[in-house]
Formats: sequence, structure tokens, C-alpha cells
Amino acid sequence: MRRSPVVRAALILATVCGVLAAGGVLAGCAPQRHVDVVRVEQQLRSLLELHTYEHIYRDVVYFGEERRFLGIRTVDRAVLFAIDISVRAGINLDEGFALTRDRSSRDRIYVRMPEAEVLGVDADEGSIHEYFIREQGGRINLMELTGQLDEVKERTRQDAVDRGLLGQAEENARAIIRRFLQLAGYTDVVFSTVVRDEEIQG
Amino acid sequence: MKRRRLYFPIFSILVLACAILFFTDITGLDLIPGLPRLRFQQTTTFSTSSVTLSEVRALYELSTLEYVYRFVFPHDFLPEGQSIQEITRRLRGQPEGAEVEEILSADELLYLRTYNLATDVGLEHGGDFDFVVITLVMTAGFDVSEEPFGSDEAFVTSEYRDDQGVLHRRIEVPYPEAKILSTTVEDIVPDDYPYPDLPVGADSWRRITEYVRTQPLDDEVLTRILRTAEENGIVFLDQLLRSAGFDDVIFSEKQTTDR
Repeated sequence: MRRSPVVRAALILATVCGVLAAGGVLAGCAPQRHVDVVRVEQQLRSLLELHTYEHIYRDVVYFGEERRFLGIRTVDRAVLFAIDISVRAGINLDEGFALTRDRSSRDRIYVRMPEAEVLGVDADEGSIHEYFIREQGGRINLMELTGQLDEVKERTRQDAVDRGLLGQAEENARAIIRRFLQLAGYTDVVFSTVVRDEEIQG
Repeated sequence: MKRRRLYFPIFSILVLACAILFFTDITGLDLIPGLPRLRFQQTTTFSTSSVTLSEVRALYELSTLEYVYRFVFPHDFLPEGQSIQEITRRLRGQPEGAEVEEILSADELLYLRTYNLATDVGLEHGGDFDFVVITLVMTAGFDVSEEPFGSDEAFVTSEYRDDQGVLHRRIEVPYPEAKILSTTVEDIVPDDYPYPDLPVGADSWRRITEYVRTQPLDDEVLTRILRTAEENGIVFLDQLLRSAGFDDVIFSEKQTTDR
């Protein structure tokens, strides 16, 4: 059976479209990675951190999405909420903290202390206050929420450092250690700071 | 002849379908990236945030242990062998004004509360649930501004000479009792979260995390955490005081108290 060139062209076109469309649909329907939901992990980790100062920020987040098709709004999602973000600083006592007695003076002791560092930046989910949420044509997803917070955390951390968090943390750490050593009978506590390896290399 | 007349409309429809499929954004499919497209849809996304410093405060926390644990909400809080139908049936059979806490067992109560929350936040779909994996980080250690370290007479120091006449320094330290310093929900980083996303707003997320965070920890686990935190603290204090020149570091007996 001989087909005309137009029919053959139409058949080829239909086949190509079919294959491409099927490929696209199959890719969209690919099964998600299997997730073992009953796996619960527990982990104990020893640490030695002296948390000495904290800055708490209030972050007001507004984000959303609007979609229009031929000028008609089909999706309108938005959320406005506030959340506390805390930036904690202090010293890691595992990184070079050491005491040395002064042989010539019973009352004097030298303390080598690591520099203060940011020990954690955490968004406090319990402090969330949602002002409004609009979910027309779609819902707000968890990854969108957490992605927004993740973006702002580095900025918040930097702001805390710029406002002198590390200096305040170091000052309070010295006060705590001085008091502790005074309780043990040392009235003259002399501090020196350990410069971290990365700072030497940097 | 009749068939031939159909060729042109069929061909036209196919060309139109291809044009729509490949050269417009109507279907939302991007089968061949990079092709020029006519835009019929318009998507606008927006995100703004403003951060203001609201509080600064000094801390006095010596953290000696971190305990990281994960929960799958709501599945970890739906005890096996329970069903909402059975719980509802039991509640219906009770006289009016009876307290739910008195009617249901601990497992049934946990199931009911978890089920209600999961339903409220939109995770329940005809008996099946969307889930979220939540990581909690608990830190344990000491608040050094509190007793015993907060007291001016916390340590008792003394000196003595041994049989060879060598002078020794001795310090008595009150037993440091560890406590839970904080329990926080680890922030989810979307790129590192390998599980399916789920639809929850900000307030629903607050309710889920608060629910998980405030679930009581098993007594045995809690005791192990506090004991290990205390042991770590004692090792640290012992080394610290020895390097401060004390030959004998004596920790007082632990007071037995109800937690």
C-alpha cells in the first residue's frame, strides 16, 4: 500500500510527537525514591562548649507566587509570618583551651583560650506567628518555608557578628572562667587567645 | 477522494498540536529546553524578609553532651493496634461531660491527639498520612550561673604534706548535676532533606514541631543523657583543676533528688 507524501509526513510527525510527549509524561511520573519512614536515628555526641552570648532576631517573612493564564489568575499563594532566629556564640573548649600556673606567684594563672565563635544559628519554630496565609490554586510547601529561613540565616549570623556578638561572647567567657578560677583561689588570671588554624592559613 | 480531503485538516491539527506542545507554555511541559516559546502563562514569585535584633543576653551554659534524635511525624506518634474508629466509638459511648483523659488509655490518647493534629494541618488523606522527618537536638550540661558554681563558697581548697614532706593542694568540688539546657528542632535545609515535600503553612509547621518537641522523652534515655553529661562535666572539671595545680580533686557525693 503506497501512501501519499502528506500522509507519510503526518504519520512521521505524529510518531515523533507521540514519542516525545510519552517521554515527557513518563519522566514526570517517574516513581520517587523509596523512603524508609520507620528508620529513627539516635546519636549521642560529647562536646565541650561554653555558650556565653546570644542575639535573638525577629524575622518577618513574606513570600508567595502568582500565576496567570491569558491574564486570568489561576494560582495565588502567599504567606506572611514572623519567626525568632537566635545566634549563639561562645568558645569551644576542645580547641586549645589550657591553663598554666605561674611558678613565681601562687595567685597567678595563665589561661589560653580559643577565640569566640558562632556556635549555632537556629530558627525557633515555636515562635512562629502567622499573620495570614492565602492558598488559592495551590498550597504552601514545607521546603518553600524552610528554604526562606535558610536564606536569611547567613545574613542574620553576619549581622550578629557585625554587632559585636563575638566580642561580647569572649568577654563573658573570660568573666566566667575568671570567676571559676577565683573560686579555686587564683586572684590574678591572665588570658591569651589561641588563633585558629584556618585564620593562620587564611 | 473523500479521504484525501481529510489529509489537510489532520495535518493542520498535528502541526498545531506540535506548535502548542513545543512552542508555547500552555501545557507547562518543557520537552525540548531552549526552544523559543510564546508565553500565555505568567508566573510571578516574590519573597521578602526583614530581620531586626530584638534581644541580646548573656549565657552561662557549659554544654557537655548533644543528643540528636529523629521522629517521623505522625507515624511515630500513632501507636500500633489503635484506630480512630475504635477510639471514636469508645468516646461516643461515654456519658456527657466525661473527661477524655479518664476514658482513654495513654496510647489511645496519644493516637487521638496525633490524629487530630495531622488532620487539622492537612496531612491525612483517607486514613493515609503525608509525613515529615523531624530532627531534634537536645543539649545537656550545666548552667554555671546557678548552684553550685554560682555560690562564692563552691570550692573548698586546702593543702597538706605527705610522708616525704611534699606539699599537695586539694580541692573539694560540689557534685555538678547536669540538666537539659535546650531542645531545639534542627532547621531543615531543603537540599539536604531527602524525603518528599509536604504542604504545610507556617502555623501548621509551628504546631507540628511544638507537638514533637514537647513529647516526653523515655525516662531511661533521659537518665542516660544526664548521667553521660555529668560524667563529661566531671572529666572536664577534673582535668581543668589538676592543670590549675590541684593534686587532689574531690567531688562531693551526688544528692539524690527527684527530677
